[in-house]
Amino acid sequence: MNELDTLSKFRADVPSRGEAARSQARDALSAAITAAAPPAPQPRTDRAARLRRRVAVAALGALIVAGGSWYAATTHARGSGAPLTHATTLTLSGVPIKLAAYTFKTPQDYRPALTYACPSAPGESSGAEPVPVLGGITSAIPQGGGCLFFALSAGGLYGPPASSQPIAVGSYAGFLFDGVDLVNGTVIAPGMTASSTTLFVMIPAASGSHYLVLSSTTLSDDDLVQVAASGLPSGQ
Amino acid sequence: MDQPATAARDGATDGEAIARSLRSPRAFATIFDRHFAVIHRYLARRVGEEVADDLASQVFVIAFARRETFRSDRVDARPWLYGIAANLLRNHWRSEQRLLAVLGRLSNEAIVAQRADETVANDARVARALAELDSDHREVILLHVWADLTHAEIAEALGVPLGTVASRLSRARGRLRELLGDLPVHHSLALTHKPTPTEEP
Repeated sequence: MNELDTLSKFRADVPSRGEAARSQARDALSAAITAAAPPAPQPRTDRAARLRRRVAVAALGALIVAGGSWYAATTHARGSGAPLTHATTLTLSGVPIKLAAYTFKTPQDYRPALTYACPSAPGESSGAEPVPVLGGITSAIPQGGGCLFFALSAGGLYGPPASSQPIAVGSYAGFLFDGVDLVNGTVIAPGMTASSTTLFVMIPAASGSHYLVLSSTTLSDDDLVQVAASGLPSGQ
Repeated sequence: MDQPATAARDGATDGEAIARSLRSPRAFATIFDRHFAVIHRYLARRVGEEVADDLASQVFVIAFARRETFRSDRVDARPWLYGIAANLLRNHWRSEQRLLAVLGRLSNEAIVAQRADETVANDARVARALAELDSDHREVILLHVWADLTHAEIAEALGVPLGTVASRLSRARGRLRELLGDLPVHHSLALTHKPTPTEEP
């Protein structure tokens, strides 16, 4: 009998603790799974909140129409309807973007947009004003077209759609959403298009969690996470 | 007991199930159902059942949190899970040493009590031999023998090159041979170790 056979028999008869251990472990995992699930949509019972939300929807709708025009213009300007390719490596050497107390690094060749939100055309103003729900809106545009949109959503007025995918952004909980989120038939997040990806990062605050919102039609999921993480404190 | 099989009844591999859990977190329960028992049993053999209860739970919570790092084209999640378990066990080195020390003393007590049971005595020798092994060598040989991982799977679990696994395993075996000598072992409750296809002779 060699040493491996001997070893294989050592403590081979350790009894199983059965369902008790399994149940305890399953509970712990279930708690982790529940914590990772996107939050349920906020109930619309508060009249003031509904009113604020309607104002936001209207304003953001206007913004998106402008953004859509800009997107169409830049697509035609490039002379190609081909989908934009996602970057494989990301160098965060573009213009820094300030949003509230945060400063985010942007990818190489990004420059600030001249307007708060994605402009209707490169270098032109969309005429859009900041939206009440999403504070400190700002954006950056890459030389090759597209737009990277930053905003803050305060107090849970607007959060990630229920179908968002959880993702870690450093030590923060993030949620990725592809496509357009419609509320009352209107796109609520500026910069959202069918081909955009929006990253929501939950930021704990004394007045309730805020969401950092980044939306882009050109950056990959990982790129968005990198950009978001570049401006957030490392610890919560 | 959970089967260490890598494909579920629905036909999904571990990689596919974990990829699905990125969209639907609850899908990760499949991985728990498939592998909890084997991971718990391995940990219980290493550090005792009470500590194993806690560690096995942690393995799956950590795996869930890191599931994005698991490649969806991997069929079997066991090496990954054992790797997480190995990291946790490093923090419980003293627990394992204490357990081995207790088991190592049993033969003396059995002799004193005129109950020189052969199995107890042999187990005590194995415990003392394991306690003498370098921690890296012990990790490799126990993943090989108790977890039935191949060399490549151990390399994946521990994040070390294949050659390192082979050399650690060779040294661990040599050291065990020295420490155990020609142990005339007979265990009535023995399980037979099944060599894997890539196992060295």
